[in-house]
Amino acid sequence: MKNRIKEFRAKYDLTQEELANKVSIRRETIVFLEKGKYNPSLKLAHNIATVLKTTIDELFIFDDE
Amino acid sequence: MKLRKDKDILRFLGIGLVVVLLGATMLIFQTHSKAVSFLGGGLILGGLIMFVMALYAATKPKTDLIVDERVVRINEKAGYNAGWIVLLSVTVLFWADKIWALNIELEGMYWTTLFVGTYSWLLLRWYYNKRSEI
Repeated sequence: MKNRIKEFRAKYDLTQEELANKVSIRRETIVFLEKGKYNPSLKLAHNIATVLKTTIDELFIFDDE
Repeated sequence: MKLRKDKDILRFLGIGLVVVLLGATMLIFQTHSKAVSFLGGGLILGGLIMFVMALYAATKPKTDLIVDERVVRINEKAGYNAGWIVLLSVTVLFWADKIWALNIELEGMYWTTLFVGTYSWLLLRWYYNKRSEI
């Protein structure tokens, strides 16, 4: 699953560490999320979307795979 | 190498040190009882492990130690598969004992189980963390 976390993070000038702190997860998890190598739970996706002032639909690109 | 010196790290280091000192005291003042000497040795070992763990944690940023949902998933998956590996190894040992009459004693069995379980869990955790897709 692709996502636009990196793009939104840059928009709000947040580092991976800052975003990780805001949603109480490891920076490593943000790295894997941005690479599209980890699918977050609905709760985490919601938390990230809230911090980045957007919606889950905007942030995550659901493809058929 | 930069070490964190926050309250949690210092507390853990302190407890480790106290445990080591307690173990050393038991060893120094107790010369007759083997059980107390064994306990003292165990406390020293435990305290040293705590000390090393605290030092290791001090080298990592605080956010690298959070147990988030990804870590929970990795632990669960590694634990599940380690459980199957333990079951498989016990089954293999059981049948090998039956077929070739190896005379495996219960003590040997539980050391094997502990060894296989612990190391397979640690290895699988490392593997799933590297592989990233959980």
